[in-house]
Amino acid sequence: MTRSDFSEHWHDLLAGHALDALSPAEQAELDRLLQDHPELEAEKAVYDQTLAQLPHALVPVAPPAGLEARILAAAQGSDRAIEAHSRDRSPGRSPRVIPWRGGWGVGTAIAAGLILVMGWDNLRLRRAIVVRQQDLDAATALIQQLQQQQRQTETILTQLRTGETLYLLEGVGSLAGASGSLLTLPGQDEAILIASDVPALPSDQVYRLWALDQEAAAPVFCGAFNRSSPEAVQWSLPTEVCGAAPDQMLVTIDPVNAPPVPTGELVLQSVVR
Amino acid sequence: MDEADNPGTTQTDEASDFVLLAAMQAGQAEALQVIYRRYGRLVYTLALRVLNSPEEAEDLCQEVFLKLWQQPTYDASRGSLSTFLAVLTRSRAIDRVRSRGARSRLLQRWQTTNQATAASPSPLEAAVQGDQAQRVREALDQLTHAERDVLEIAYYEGLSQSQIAERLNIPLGTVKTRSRQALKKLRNILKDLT
Repeated sequence: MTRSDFSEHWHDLLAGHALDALSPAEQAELDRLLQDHPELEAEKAVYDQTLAQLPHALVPVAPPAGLEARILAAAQGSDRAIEAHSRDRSPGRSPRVIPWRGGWGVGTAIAAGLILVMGWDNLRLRRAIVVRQQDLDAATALIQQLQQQQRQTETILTQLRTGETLYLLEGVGSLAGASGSLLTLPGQDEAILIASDVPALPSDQVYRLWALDQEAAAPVFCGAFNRSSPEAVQWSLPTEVCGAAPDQMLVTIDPVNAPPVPTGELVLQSVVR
Repeated sequence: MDEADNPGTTQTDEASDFVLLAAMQAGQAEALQVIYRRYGRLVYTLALRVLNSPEEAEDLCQEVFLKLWQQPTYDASRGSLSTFLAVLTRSRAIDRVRSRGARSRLLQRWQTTNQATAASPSPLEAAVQGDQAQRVREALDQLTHAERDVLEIAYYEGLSQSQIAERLNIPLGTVKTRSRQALKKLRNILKDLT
């Protein structure tokens, strides 16, 4: 028998063993062979595993829908039974008994491997949580910003619906091309300006709003503002008169430190109603 | 056969069998659930193929997964978890068949033989069922019909070689040669899957 034939004969024995179809004489021969060549154990396992591939070729059939729930319920029920049994036999001991046939040496090695794997998974999870928390913080800040804009928009819409304290502004003088809308909020003593072509002023200057009422002797100072953002500008009204629907609103440019008297350049004025 | 029954995945769903088994041994039923969803179809299909009874297949499927939960005897050094479950399922299914009466067994043989000649899956089904299933089917296609018949009867019905010879009306030596030749061919074709 050549070496090649001999190997082929080994494979025949290993295949026959996987098929559980060895004669007693063949089984004895294989036992001797494995004793002399323990490296063949790996090849024996390959044949077993090859045979176990066969069911993968079957047309798959889904298990009944309720089977998963029944298995889980039975598992948890059996676990409780094991716990009760364990408590009865040895009060105070850990209730979960985990049989492990691999032996303590192998078991310890596998447990160490498990700890490494689970530790790595734990680290990945914690990193993922930090990233998710940062995303959450950013999303929360965005939500708060949007909510503020929504409240502002709702306020403007409410005022637009009533129309009583809305002033349409038109530019004059150096801001002849400018325009805008001014809302005064009597209940909240605040004003909102939405304007176009109204530039931001240097830091030593400021826009001032004045209320002019036919019954008043002079314009009433209604606060100062600058164009800190291209959107609406909102500020507090210093007196109730400003929010009491005066006849006209005026906007001037004044030095920041100037006294609150209407001496600056007039740049916006409301259309007289 | 596809191992993943559910297309949606979570981090737990993507955990390796090794990690899931460790979690299961720590008493986490969620790990058993993921393992079931991964291999339940394989176990049930194999049980149904051998037992040819949905009720018995369901019962055996439950038995196999409870066995895994209560007495985890799986040794990763001896092969994949799917291999372990397939071996356990086949072994217990054949034990059940052998415990039936002779009349019942004859009926089962007839029905199972008929089922074995069922139509192959469509290309669409094959694509869905995954690469491993396709690889095994292609490997089986490289066997002769005679080799495949002998191998499948031996595997799914657990008949002895003399019983197969009697069933197919061929010499015992032919059964022995064909079955071993078939498995050796598969071993060479599928060696990277094992």
